[in-house]
Parts: sequence; C-alpha cells; structure tokens
Amino acid sequence: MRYFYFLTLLLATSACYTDFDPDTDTKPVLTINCSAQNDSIVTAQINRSWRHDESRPSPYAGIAEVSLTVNGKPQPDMTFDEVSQQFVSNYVARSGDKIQITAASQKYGVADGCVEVPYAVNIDTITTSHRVFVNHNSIIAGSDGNWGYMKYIEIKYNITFTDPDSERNFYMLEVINKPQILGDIIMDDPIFSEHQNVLDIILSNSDWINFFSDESISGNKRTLTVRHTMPLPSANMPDDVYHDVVNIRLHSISESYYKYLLSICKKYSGFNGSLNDIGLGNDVMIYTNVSNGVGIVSGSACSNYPIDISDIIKSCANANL
Amino acid sequence: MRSLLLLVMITAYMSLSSQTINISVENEPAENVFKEIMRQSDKNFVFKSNLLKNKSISAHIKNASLSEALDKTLTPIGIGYTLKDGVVVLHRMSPRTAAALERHTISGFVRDSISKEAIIGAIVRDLNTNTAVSTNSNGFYSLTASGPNACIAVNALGYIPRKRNIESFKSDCEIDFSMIEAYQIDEVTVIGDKNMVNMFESASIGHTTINSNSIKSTPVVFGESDIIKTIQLQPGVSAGVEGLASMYVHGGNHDENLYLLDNIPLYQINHFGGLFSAFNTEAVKNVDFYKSSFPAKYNGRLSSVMEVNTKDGNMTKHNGSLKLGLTSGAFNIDGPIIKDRTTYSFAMRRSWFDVLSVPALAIYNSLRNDDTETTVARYAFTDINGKITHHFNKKSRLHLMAYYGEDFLKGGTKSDYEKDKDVMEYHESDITRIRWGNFIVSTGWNYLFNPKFTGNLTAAYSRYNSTLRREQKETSYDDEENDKVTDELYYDSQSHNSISDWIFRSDFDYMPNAMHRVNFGANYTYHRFMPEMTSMKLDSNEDFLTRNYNKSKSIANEINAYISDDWKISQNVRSDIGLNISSFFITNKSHVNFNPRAAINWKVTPKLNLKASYARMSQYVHQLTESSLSLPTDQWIPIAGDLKPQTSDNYAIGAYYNLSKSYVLSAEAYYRNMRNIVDYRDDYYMVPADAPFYDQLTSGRGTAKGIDLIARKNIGKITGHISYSLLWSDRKFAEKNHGMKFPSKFDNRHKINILINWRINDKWEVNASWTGMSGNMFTFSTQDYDILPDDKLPPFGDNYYDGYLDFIDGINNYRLPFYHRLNLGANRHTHNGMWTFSLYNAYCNMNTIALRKTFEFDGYGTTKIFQRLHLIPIIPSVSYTWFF
Repeated sequence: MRYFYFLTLLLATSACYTDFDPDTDTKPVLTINCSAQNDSIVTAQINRSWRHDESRPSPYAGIAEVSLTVNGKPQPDMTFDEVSQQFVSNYVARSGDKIQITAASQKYGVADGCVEVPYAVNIDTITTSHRVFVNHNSIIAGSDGNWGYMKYIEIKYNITFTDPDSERNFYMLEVINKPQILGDIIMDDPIFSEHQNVLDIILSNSDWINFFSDESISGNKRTLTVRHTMPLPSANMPDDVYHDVVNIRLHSISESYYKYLLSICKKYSGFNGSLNDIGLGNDVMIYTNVSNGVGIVSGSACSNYPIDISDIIKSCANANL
Repeated sequence: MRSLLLLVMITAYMSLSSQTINISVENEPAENVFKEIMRQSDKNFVFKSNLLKNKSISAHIKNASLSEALDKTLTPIGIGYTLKDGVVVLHRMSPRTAAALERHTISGFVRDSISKEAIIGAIVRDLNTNTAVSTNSNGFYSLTASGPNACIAVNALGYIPRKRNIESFKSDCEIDFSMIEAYQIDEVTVIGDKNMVNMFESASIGHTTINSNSIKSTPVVFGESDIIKTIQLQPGVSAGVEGLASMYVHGGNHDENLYLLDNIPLYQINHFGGLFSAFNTEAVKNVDFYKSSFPAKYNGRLSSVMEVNTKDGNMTKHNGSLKLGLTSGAFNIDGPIIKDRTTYSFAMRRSWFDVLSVPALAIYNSLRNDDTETTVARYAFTDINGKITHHFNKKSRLHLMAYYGEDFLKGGTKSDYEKDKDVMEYHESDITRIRWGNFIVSTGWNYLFNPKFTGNLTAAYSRYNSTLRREQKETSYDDEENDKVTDELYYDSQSHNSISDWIFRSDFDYMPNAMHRVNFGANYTYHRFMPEMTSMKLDSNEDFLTRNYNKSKSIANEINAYISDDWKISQNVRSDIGLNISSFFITNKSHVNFNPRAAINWKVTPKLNLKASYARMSQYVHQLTESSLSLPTDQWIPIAGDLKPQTSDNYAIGAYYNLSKSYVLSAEAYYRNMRNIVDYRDDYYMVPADAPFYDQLTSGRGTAKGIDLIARKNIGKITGHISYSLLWSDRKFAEKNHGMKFPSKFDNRHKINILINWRINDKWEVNASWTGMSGNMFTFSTQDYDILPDDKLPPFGDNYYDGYLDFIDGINNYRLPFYHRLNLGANRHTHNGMWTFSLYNAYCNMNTIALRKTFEFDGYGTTKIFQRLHLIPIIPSVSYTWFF
C-alpha cells in the first residue's frame, strides 16, 4: 500500500518486529472445501488446519471418511484421488440439488457442510464500443534509441442480464480472453465496489473484485460495463493475429460462496488488509458454512456468452496507419 | 410556688419515636404551639409558667418525630428540654448552650492571591464543628456554622492553607480567602488535597481531582504533559494501545467516556492518532474524573466522566508563558481587560513535526535514488483556547469560551518524467489529505441569588469534523507542440463526517442548611449527525464521472433533567442521592431513561470510611472503530434503527483509611453491567457501503468487575501513589464470535502503577512513573487452512499470500505479553522559567502492541513465522517554558 507513509515512517522509526513462539494449544480442525458446479461431478478437498509455522499437511485418503448426500439421499462414498488430492464422487450436480458433504475423522471429529446448487442466469445481450488511446503507462523503445508511448485498444462490453426476482441471487463475472501481454480486464462498474467502504476507496488501491449481489438489482435488468484493454497490433498483419474470441461467463453462485469471497477480500485487501499485514487490522473471521470445522461448501452454475472481437481489433489496427 | 405551675398530663402510652408531629405556624405564641405539640404527641410536659411568656414561634414541620419537632421549635427561642420516663421537661438554656446552637451561614469566594482567579474544589472547613464543603466552579462556598464562634480553614491543592477565627458573630457573614501558591515560599510542601475530601467527606466513589501542576508533574512521551496520560495512571484505567491517549475505564470502550470542556462535550480528544490529547495543559485549571459513582448532573456515557475546567485569567495583571519543546510549542497569556472586572485567557499550542520532517523527507527522497518521484508528507496539529470572563458584580459573572483544535495530515507522491532536462513529458501527483478537529464556542452566566443558592446558564455550539481527501492528477505534455497538454486525468475523492451539537443547559446549586446541598438542572442538546458524506469525481479526456452519497444524515434531540441531594444525615453518615432523566428523540423514535444515582459514606472511625454506590448511565451516541487504531475517520453515530440506548448499572463499594497525616489507603470494588452495547457484526462486511450504518452493528451485553487498590502520599516533599487494579471484562453479542462470550480487548487483568514526585528544593523537582500490566487481548490466528482450490477466486491484493487462510478460533483469544514501562522526568525552576526533561520508556522496553503471521525469506525458501510488533523505544526530550 502506497498511502501509509506516516504509518510506515512511524513504524520505521519507533517500531520493530521480533519473532516469537506462541505458547498456546493448537487444536487442528477439519477443512472441507467443495465447489459443486452445475453439470460437473462433485469433488471435495478434505484436510485439517495446521499451525502456521508447520508445513502444510498433504491431504490423504485416511484423513476422514467422506460421504456425499444429495437431496437427502446418501450417495456412494467419495474416493480419494491421488492426483488432484481430492475426494471424488460419481455424482454430477444439477441446479437445485442440495449437496451435503460430511467428513468423519476419528482424530478431528465430524464436520459437514451443505449447499444448494443455484440456477444459471443467461446473459441477454452484449454490446461493444471501442476506442484507441495512448497509454502513458506503457513505453516502447525504438531501434533508433527514441522512445514513445504505446497505443492501446479499449473495448467496452455492455453485458445485460435479467435478475430473477424470486430470491436473492449472487453472481460472479468472468471474462476469458486471449492472453495478452500488457492487456487487462477492468471491472470498474460500481456494482463491484458496493462493499468497499470509504477508507478502501480513498486510502487503498483496492484490487477489483468480480462478484456481486442482486441487492441493487432486485429482479430487474442490469447492464454491467467491463473494459478490456490490449496493445494495438500493427496494421496489415495476417488475420490470425487479430483473431480473438472473448468468453464472458456469468456465474450464479451460492450465498455461502459469496460471503466466503467477500470475507476473504475484507480481511486481506483494501485498507483493512493493509492494517492486517502489520497486525493492526480488524478481526475479520473468514466465513464458513462447515459446522465443526472450516472451509466452504459452495455451489455455482454458469452461462457463457462468446463474442468475437477480431473485426474490432483489425479495424483499429488498420485505422491507425 | 406562685410562679411555678405544674402541668401534668395524662400518662403517655405511645413511644416517643412512634409519634409524628405536623405543625405549620407563623409568629404563633409559644404556649399555643406547645399545647398543639402536647396534643399530637400525647406526652406529659413540665415547664415553668413564665417560660413561654412573650415568646412566639414560626415553624413548618411535617411528619417529624417529637425530638425533631422540639429541636426546631425550642432552640430558636432559647429553651432546652430533657426527656425522662416519658415526661418532657422544658427549661431555659444556659447562654452558652443557646449561643452554641445558633446557626449562621458563612459564605464567600476562594481565589488565588495573585491572579484573583477562582479556585475550584478548595476545601472550606469549620474546625469547631468539623463541617466541610468544597468550592464550586466559581470558587464559591457556603457553610453553616453553629455557635457564636467559628474557625474556618481553607485547603486547596498546591496552596498554603489558610485559617481564620470568627468570634461572636451574630448573623450570616461573607468571608473571601486569598490563597498563596505553595511554591512561592521557601518551605515547600504540597498541602491540601481535594482527593482527601473526595475520599473522606463526600459520598462519591472513584472520584479524582487533578490540577494543572499535578499534570505537569507526570512524565510523558515527548515531554508533553497530558491530562489523559495522567489519568491513565489511575487504577482501573487502561491506556489501550501503547502511546495512544485513549482511555478504557473499568473495562469499558473508548467511546464510553464523557469528556467535558467547561461543561461542553468534546468528541475527539486525540492528536496524531492519540499520541497527544486535545487538552492543552497551559489552559487547564483542574480536572475532575469519575469512574465508579457519578453525580446526577452527568449522563451520556457508560464508563467515565472527565470534566476539564479552563483558566479564567488573572484579574490584576498580565502574565503568561511561552513553551518550546522538541515536538511542539505553546503560548499562553492571560490578564485583566478591566482590572478586577474583566479577564481574558488565551492559549495556543502547535506541533512542528512538519518542520522537523522536512530534512527527514529530503534524506529519505535522496536515499531512494529516484529522481522522478518525490514523497510528500506533512503533519501538524493546533490547539487554541480563549476565554473572556466579566464580573458584573460579586453576584453576577459572564464568560465566553472558545476552543479550536485541528490536525492536518498530508502524504503522497509527486512524479515528473522528463525526456530531457528542458522538456516535461509527464506529471503525476497522488496526494491524500486528512483534516480533523473540534470547535467549541460557549457562553455562560453565573448568578449568586443568595449565599445558599447559585445558578449557571450555558449556551454552546460544539462541532467535530473530519475530512479525508485523495487527489490524483496526471498530465501529459507534447514537447513538439510547445508543451501542449495532450492528456489529462483528475480524480478527486472526498469523505466527510461530522457531528454538531447546539447545547443549552442550566445548573443550580442550593444549600438550604448545613445538612443538605441540592443540585438540580436541565439541558437540551440538538444533535446533527453526518456520519459519512462521500463524493468522487473523475475528469479525464473522455470520461467525466461524479458519484455522491450521504449516509444517513440524522437529527436528534436530547433532553436531560437531574436533581440530587448531598445529605449529611448525621455526623458520621452522608449520602448523595439523585436522579437523572434523559430522553433522546430521533426519526420518530423516542427513548426515555431513568438513571438513579445513590451513594453513601459512613465514617466508621475518624480514620476509616466505608462507602457504597449505585449509578445507572445511559448513552445515545457511539463511535464506530474498525481497527485497533483511533482514526479520525471513525464515525460518531446515534442510536438508530433497531438499536436501543446503551445503559450501564454501576455498583461500587469502597473503604478508605487515613493511615497518618501523609498516607491514605483506599480499596474500591466495582461491578458494571452493560446492556445494548454495540459492535460490528461478524459479517458486517456483507452490508453494502451505502446502507444505513446500523445495519452493520449488533447489540449485546458486557460485564466488568474488579478491585482498585491505592496507597497515596499527599503531603510532603515526596508525594505519589502506588496502585493495583484487578479486572475482568467480557462481551457477548448474538451476531459476534458465533454468539459466544469473549473477553474485551482491554481486559488487563492485573495492573500496577507507581507515581513518585520529589520536590528536592525550590529549583528541582523529579518524578517517575512505572506501569506494569497484563497485556491487551488480541485476536490471533495461530493456524492456517486451505483456501478453496478453485481458479475462479479473485485476486486479493498484496496481502493475500500463498493460498492459505487464517483460522481464528475466537475473538480476543490471545493475551499479549506483560506490559511495563518506566518514565522519568525532571523540572528545574529558574528565575522566570522552567526546564522540563523527560525520558519516556527509560529502560527501552518496547512493548508488544500487535501480533502477525508472516514469512521470512532465507535465500533458499520461505519460513513461516510468528512476529510481535513492538512500539516506541526510549524517547528523551527537553522543553523550556518562559514565564512572563
């Protein structure tokens, strides 16, 4: 964080850190992490918590007996997969399923978590607009020794969807693009910062987050704006240089998953994250829906909307001649 | 036998105590009055027939016992009585006895001999009857003396005691006392202590009075004498985070302390994150601090009350002081505008961290070896106190007081990129400014209706305001087109929060007789809260964006009324019973609280007093604090939404033993039950930023209990105290810590304070304070656990590391190491000045204020470690004060 000059100065001149060994009883608890996604088999990572100064224990088959219950019906026991180090079931999750994961360990007790897999919400339309601009944060040096600023394309995606009005919904937006060196996806729609307080906004260079709730949408149509920047390619290049298809995915996520993500952001980023790093942050407890343990049993469903931006890139490159 | 007529009545069949007498007469012949008393009491009375001749009685007696009725009717006409075998025998009093029973009121003012300034809390005692009162905020006292003679002694902390014999006075009289400061004479001793009266005369528990000299004799950081840090040395008061000027009294929170500046509430008392308090000791006359029992006059906070009275000004000549310290300077002047009529007092204090930081920043910027980017930083605080007091006459006085305090903090970077030396290519600046402070203006009229009745009327405006602003500017120039601006971006984000109060109050002090002192009054406060007003403006070549929102601006009306009676029930028993009724009206909701107060003092022996007290306090505003630091952006908000007023029931008992003339021991035990206290919910972050602030809060309960022990030496060249306090403090909220009870952050189980002042001679004075206490409670995660292995997780910024999360098994689950610190100080008085030397944290024990989990890079990989954050090493300082 760049804006803690005084705090940093104060700490630098009047503070110091020393290592210590906290003399406390550390009682490990079971961790269940499960992401139940529509049309995917249900997997779960089962582990235990560990003292910070110890190595992370690798998950292993014998740590617990892991069972899956769907809509109240027990499914065959989940088996441990050595490659992914996760417990895997044969069951493919569907929207509306109530998924319950139970891990029973003789050493760490019985922990369980439950989630209902949400329904996907389709993207209605995506429109685009674009511009070319000089990026003063990006410098290019020429062979003659002179340097200059690079030109960039900025594509603005206006993503419209309709929020179902029957219940509270939570979303995550994902933009998957062709990897671009120096390119960026900027999610600065106000909906992504609805949980940033004034100190986050003013005092910290907060990272964007890509999830939101329907609190301000409440059953209406909403158009999200996302900006996509990339270096402007040279003109008159082969078509495959300009070819790019962006996949815009709107994930419906469970409330538990939303709370989990938000608590992580609150603890580790923004103003509180900066204070937390030096030991003076607020006591944010990471959300968990696992009883008698920690972790998250989450659910999600995705709708994908591919959009071809090859023509935009090509037209911008050629117009820059 | 002709002059003797015996009246023998029928044998009494009711006991004396069971009868009640009711009489209301004006100048009624005494014989008639006694016939009526005989009728109502059914007693036999025996007296000479001419005893009551030509005597008349005026009396208004209701439900009185026979003995009370006889005392009130006989004594004024010089007749005594004896009661034997159910018969009341009346007789003429001896002249000596009659004179002894005669009562007169002695009243007047106690003032400083040179400045003529009123001395608050001076003890005025009639040594013949051992009756004592203390002077009020105007230095006024009123004492009822019995008999023809009185011997009045006056004690005030830091002054030479005065004594005056009054012989054969037959009516009420006025006597003013001029007190001489103790250090003006060769034989220097500090004599007289209001705290002795607090402990042995009054019924209050946990009441401490501190004057400006005591504050200056307490060594503190940077040599800046500080009221709050002086009070932090009292048992039962926790300092909070190292170095900061917060107070956590008897397990309460920092926003549960009522700070009053000349009777007006002050919301923000910190400078520089709490390293200094907002009270300039040069402007302070004295401080009263209450932590267990509370006079009915005060309400509005749960844990403590601190009333700061400022100087009125010298009535005879101009004088002042100029202080130069390492971190700040202070200027103070006061004197008469119209001699013996109108005075002024002006004090100003300003830090010069900003001046000192200039070379430090220059060195820092040069060491960074980056000629394109410059770090900008500046900090300063200012306090200004002003007061004008006008005495219309001895009975009437008017004052006008103003206080202004402000902090300013600026930090950021400026960058200039140049293609070559002459051509600017790009300019960027990113500056954050924070400005916060209080402003108070008040006027008060004090009127002495008669020696037994005084009144104060006050009108005031108080405002706390903070502004946080970040400005980012980016400008690009085209050197080929005469430095034409080609690209420009301006981003300005601001946040304001403020609380404004309009206050009107009246306070009356009525002393009907030697047994009672009645205080009553009422006040009204118009609150205007602006918890958060945020605006953002983005202006670039192609975008223009503004965003504003106000967060629940609200108006509230608060009304308080109170009455209390300080009742001397007998020579050995005194009580102070009162009631405060408070009401708070906000957005169509009204809250009314009855806050009873009761305290009793029993003088078991001349050296031993026992006390008990109960007080209920209610609180309607509180401060939201998200971090361990006291930040200026912390918002004061009212009780709103579903939240109810916070209340506390405070029970206390105390024992006070006067070991000798110099030494006093006291032990106080307390229990505090707090209801509807508020805190952030576990999942407060779920509430959108523009939602009402109370949506993020949960209300719950808390308890605090403990014992405060203190041994004081008040008299002599060496004074000081040793104290020990034991504390348990916990909280329980339905929506915090999974509904489980947890210890409060400043549950400092054991705390020891030692304070010693040694006045070696009239030039040198040295002092030392040592504090040792159990560490603060801290929410600490010792374990990690796996984050959800999913590539859809967003990035979490610089501080998120390695895919592991903190497992916290409870709030405030870890106690920080034992805290201890020694401060040393010395004052050297010169002909017209004083050098102050201080050594904060003399043996350089940097105490732990926080813990963290982190990584250490050792060249091959990382090692995960636990670390303690230690703050504030040894800090020597010196300052000089020039008196003129």
